[in-house]
Amino acid sequence: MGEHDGLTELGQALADLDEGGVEHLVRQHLDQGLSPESIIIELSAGMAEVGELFRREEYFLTELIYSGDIFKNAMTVLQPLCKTAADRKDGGVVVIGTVQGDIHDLGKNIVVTLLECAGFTVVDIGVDAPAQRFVEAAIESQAVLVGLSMLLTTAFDAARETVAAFTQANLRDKVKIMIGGSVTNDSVRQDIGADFWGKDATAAVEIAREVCQ
Amino acid sequence: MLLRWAQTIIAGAKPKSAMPIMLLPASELTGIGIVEMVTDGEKQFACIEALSRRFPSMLAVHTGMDLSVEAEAFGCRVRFTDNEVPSVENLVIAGMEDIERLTVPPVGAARTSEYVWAARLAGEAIRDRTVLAGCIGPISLAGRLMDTSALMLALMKHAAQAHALLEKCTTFLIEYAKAFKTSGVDGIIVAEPMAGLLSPDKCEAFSSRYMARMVDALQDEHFTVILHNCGRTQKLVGSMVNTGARGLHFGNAVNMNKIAPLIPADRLFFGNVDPVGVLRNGLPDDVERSVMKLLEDMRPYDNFILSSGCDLPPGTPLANIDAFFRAFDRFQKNA
Repeated sequence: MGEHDGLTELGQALADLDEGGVEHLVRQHLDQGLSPESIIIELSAGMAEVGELFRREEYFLTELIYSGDIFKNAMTVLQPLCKTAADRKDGGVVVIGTVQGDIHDLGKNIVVTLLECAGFTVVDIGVDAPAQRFVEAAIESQAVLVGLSMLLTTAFDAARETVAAFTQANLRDKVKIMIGGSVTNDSVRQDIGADFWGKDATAAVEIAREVCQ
Repeated sequence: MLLRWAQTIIAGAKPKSAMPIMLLPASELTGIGIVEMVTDGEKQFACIEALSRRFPSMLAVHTGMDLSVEAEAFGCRVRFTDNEVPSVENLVIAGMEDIERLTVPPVGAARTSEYVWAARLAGEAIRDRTVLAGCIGPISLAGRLMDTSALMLALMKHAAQAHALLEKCTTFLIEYAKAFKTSGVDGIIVAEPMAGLLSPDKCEAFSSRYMARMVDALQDEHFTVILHNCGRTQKLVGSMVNTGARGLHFGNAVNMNKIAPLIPADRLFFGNVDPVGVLRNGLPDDVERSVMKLLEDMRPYDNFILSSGCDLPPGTPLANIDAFFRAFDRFQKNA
C-alpha cells in the first residue's frame, strides 16, 4: 500500500494495517506529549482512508474488521487519558446513538471518544436505538445536542422518525440534532430535518462546541 | 445427468435452462411447515417432489440449503420456527484454543442423516431431471462455529489456527458430500457466502483452496460441484474458477454483465434474480421484467443458467415463482 496524501505517519500505519506500527507510534506520540485528542484525530484519518479503500474494493470486510481491531487496541491506551479530560465536564452534555435498524458503531465510538476528550459529557445509547430512546436520554441528561449515527441508507427513515419524535415531545427548540456517518451529507441532513451534518468526527466536535457554548 | 446436460448446453445444442434455488416455498404447496421440512428427510423429499411436479421447466431440484445443519453436527444449538430458516444460536468456538479441541463429527450426526435420506429418496424417485444436494462451504461453516468477526480477525492475526479450523470443516464436508454422492444424486451446490466478504488473496487462501479439495474429492463424470458465492464476487471470479467446480453460482450483489465475460466457456454459471427484493417482495410483473432482462443480457452466453441469486426465503409467493417460469418459457419460445 502506497503513501496516501495528507495522512500522518500514524494515520498511514493504520491505513496500511500495520498493527505494530500503530502501537509504537501511539506510545511515541504520548511520550512526546501530544494530546490523546490529537492522536485520535490522526487515527480517525487513517480509518477514513481504510473506508475509502473499502469503497474502492481494494480492502474487503476482513481488512475493515482488522483496522477496527487495531483502532480499538489503540483506544484502550488513549481512552483512560481522555476520561481525565472528560471528568472536567466543562463542555456540556451530548446524547449520541446509532439509529434504529443500524448496528454499526465504529464511527459513533470515534465521535464519543473525541467528544469526551474535548470535555463533553456523552450519553451513549448504543446501536439500533429507537427514536423514543433518544428523546428519553435527552430529557434525562438535559442534553442540548443529540447525535444520530448511521452507516446504512436504509436507516434514513429511522433518523427522520427520531427527529419527528423530538418535535412531538416539544423539544425541538431546546435540542439541536446532528447527523453523521459515511452515507450522510448536507442534503440528507435537510431531508431528515436535522440541524447539523458532521462530515467526520472532528466536525462533530466543532458542532458540539458551537452548540454547547 | 447434469454433466450430460452441461455438455450439450455448452455445445449450444439446447436453449437456456432455469433453476431457482428453493425448497421453502414448497410449504405453500404441501402444507408441510419449515420445521418438519428441515428435520424430517421424508417430509423434505415430499417438498422436493412437489416442486418438481409444480415447475416442469425447472432444470434441477435440490435438498434444502439449510446452512445450520452442518454446524449443528459440530455441536451448535439451532433455533427452529415455521417462519424462518433455522439459525445457529450459540458458538462452539469461543477462542483460538477451542479449535484444537474441536472434534470432527461423523456423517449422520444431528440432522445430517435426514438430509442424506431426503437426497436418497429424491435421487431414486425423480428421474426426469437433475437432483442436487446442498451443503455449506468450509469457511462459511467455520463462520458459524465461531463469531464471524473473530474468524475474520483470525484470518489476519492467527492464520495457522484458522487453517486448522478449516481443515476440520473440510474433512467433515467432504465426507458429508460423499454420503450425498453415494445416495445417488447428480451433484452438490456448496454455499460459500462468507467467501464473498474476503479479498481475492484471502479468498484463495482460506476458501478456494479448501473448495478445490472438495472438488478433487467429489467431482467426476457422474457428479458435479456447483460453488455458490452471493457476495461481491467480481474480483473473486478467478479464484472461484480455480476451484475446478463445474458450476459457479452468483448472487444478486453482482452485475451478471460484468461476471459473464470472466467465466470460461466450459463452465456453467448461474444467477441471479434478486431473491428478496424481487422474488419475495415484488409483484409477478416485477419478476417477469427481471427475468426477461437477465435472459436478454445473457443471450450470448450458452453456458448461462437462469437462477435466483440465493435460496428463496420463506413467504416467497408461488405466484412469483410461476411468473419466473412464465417469463423463462416466453423467452424460450421467442429465442
